[in-house]
Amino acid sequence: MFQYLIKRLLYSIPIIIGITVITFAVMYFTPGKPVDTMMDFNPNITSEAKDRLVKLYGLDKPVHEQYWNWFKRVIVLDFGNSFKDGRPASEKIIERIPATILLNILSIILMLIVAVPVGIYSAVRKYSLFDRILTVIVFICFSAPVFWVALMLMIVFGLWLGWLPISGLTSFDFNELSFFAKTWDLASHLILPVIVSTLGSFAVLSRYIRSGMLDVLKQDYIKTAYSKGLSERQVIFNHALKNALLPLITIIGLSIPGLIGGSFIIETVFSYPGMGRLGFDAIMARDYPVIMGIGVISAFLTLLGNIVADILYAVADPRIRYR
Amino acid sequence: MSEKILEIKNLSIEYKTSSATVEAVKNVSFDVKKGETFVIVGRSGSGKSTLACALMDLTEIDGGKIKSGNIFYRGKDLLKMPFEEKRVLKGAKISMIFQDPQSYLNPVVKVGKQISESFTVHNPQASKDEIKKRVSEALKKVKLDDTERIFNSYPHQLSGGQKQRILISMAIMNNPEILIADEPTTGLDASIQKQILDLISELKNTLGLTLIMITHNMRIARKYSDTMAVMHNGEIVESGNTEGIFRNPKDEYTKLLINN
Repeated sequence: MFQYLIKRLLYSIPIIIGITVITFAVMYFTPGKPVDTMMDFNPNITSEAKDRLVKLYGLDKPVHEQYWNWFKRVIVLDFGNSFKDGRPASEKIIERIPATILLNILSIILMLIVAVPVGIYSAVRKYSLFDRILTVIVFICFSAPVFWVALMLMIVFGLWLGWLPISGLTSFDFNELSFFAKTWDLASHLILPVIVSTLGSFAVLSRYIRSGMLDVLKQDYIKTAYSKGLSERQVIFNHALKNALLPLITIIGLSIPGLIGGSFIIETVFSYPGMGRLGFDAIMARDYPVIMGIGVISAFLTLLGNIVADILYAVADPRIRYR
Repeated sequence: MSEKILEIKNLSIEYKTSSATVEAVKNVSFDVKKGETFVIVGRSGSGKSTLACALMDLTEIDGGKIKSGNIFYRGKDLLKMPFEEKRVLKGAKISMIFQDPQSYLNPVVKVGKQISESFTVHNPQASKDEIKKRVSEALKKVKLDDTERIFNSYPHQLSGGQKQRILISMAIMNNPEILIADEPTTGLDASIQKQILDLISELKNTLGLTLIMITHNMRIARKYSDTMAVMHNGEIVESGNTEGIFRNPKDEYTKLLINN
């Protein structure tokens, strides 16, 4: 187990280097240089000043040198200063992380609470009325565009009914509220974004669990369990469930980057102060240090998520653990 | 020796696939007498395993459907019984061991838990000591030693022979009347096959079981059975006293099998 872990971590080193190379290359080859936006709309700046700025950022050096300089700083999480307001990119990123984690943890919990029982039930009662209705709902959830659902919910619950706020994470008067009012204020701001970001993943996950469960119910050891005289309930909970939920680990592991990377669309539509919106704004402003910071962090987290998933898999599945 | 413990009457079983409906068992009838070894022989695809699964109420789980017929166990039709009444019989009065021990044990549940479950499901009130006693008795009967280690193992850590012994111990846990063995040696090495068959036939004698064995092997059929039925394309083409059939086969297909 320990050896497995070490091996897994060593394998990830070349992948991390690859991630930084690709992130850097993508930015380097993107048309439009950062200095362009800073200069082009400002008539007071001469081309000499532009050259000086290029030099200042090291943009005149050869590619590999630029990459190496950048890489040395990335290792210590220094992505440079934002072009927009001069603050360190890492600082801007870190201050957005809690809001995004809050949103995503809540929606992962909601997703699991709803999708697991629903997936299992529709597998056990395959082709029943419930299963059919659910298939339709899942397809709607899956195919409706997130931004459209978000806008519709905002119109219905925010404008027509006026029950829920439609943007931000807190109200303007948040600091003057009592503790309970603060909690409700936060919760009411979270309801719509959490629901919207759960819908799509709920649809995918419940299908995964349904098909996983159907697959497990066809296995031979299920026949053994029935022939022991177990009831359907006992067969499902004592024998099928654990096997059917194994793939869930991968899915949760893969959702870790989204957990911190945030969703560009949802956060932008709801003006939610998280990483996703930071990334969106950074792209619009060609704020390279922030974009690259988010890119590297997200890629790194994807890798981490994979490793965590592999380890959890080994913990949950004895066949992998003892290999 | 003459009491009929199982009577199968005009049993037909079909499987629906996306393209066609296959009738795997066609209008099959036979009786099994208490205490005998009844062997069903036939090539793969002859419907013999389907038949065995039907006796154990596994047809629907397998995706099949019993079209018509009756299975009388001590005069009661198993096919008309409510699930709960059948459930109490399964694993207690009628139990089954399967072809491939590898896939018939749950890979993520410890073996010990899977074995003791066979007892606790029919004795939910049993104390810990009682469970332990019964389980170790059952393991002794199937000649498994090193029980402590086996108990805490997962199936993939054990050999094929050990796994089949474990499946047998689960099947005989509650001293059943009928044991159905569906090709019990298929997934095993040749050297272990004989050990397992001898064990099954020894258990049959010591526990007074009625044994229904499914096999494709004519030598096994002749060596172990009292009565046999030959299946071909879902039908029983010939049945009766084993020695009688081997000496004087009437059906062409039976002759073919014997001469091979």
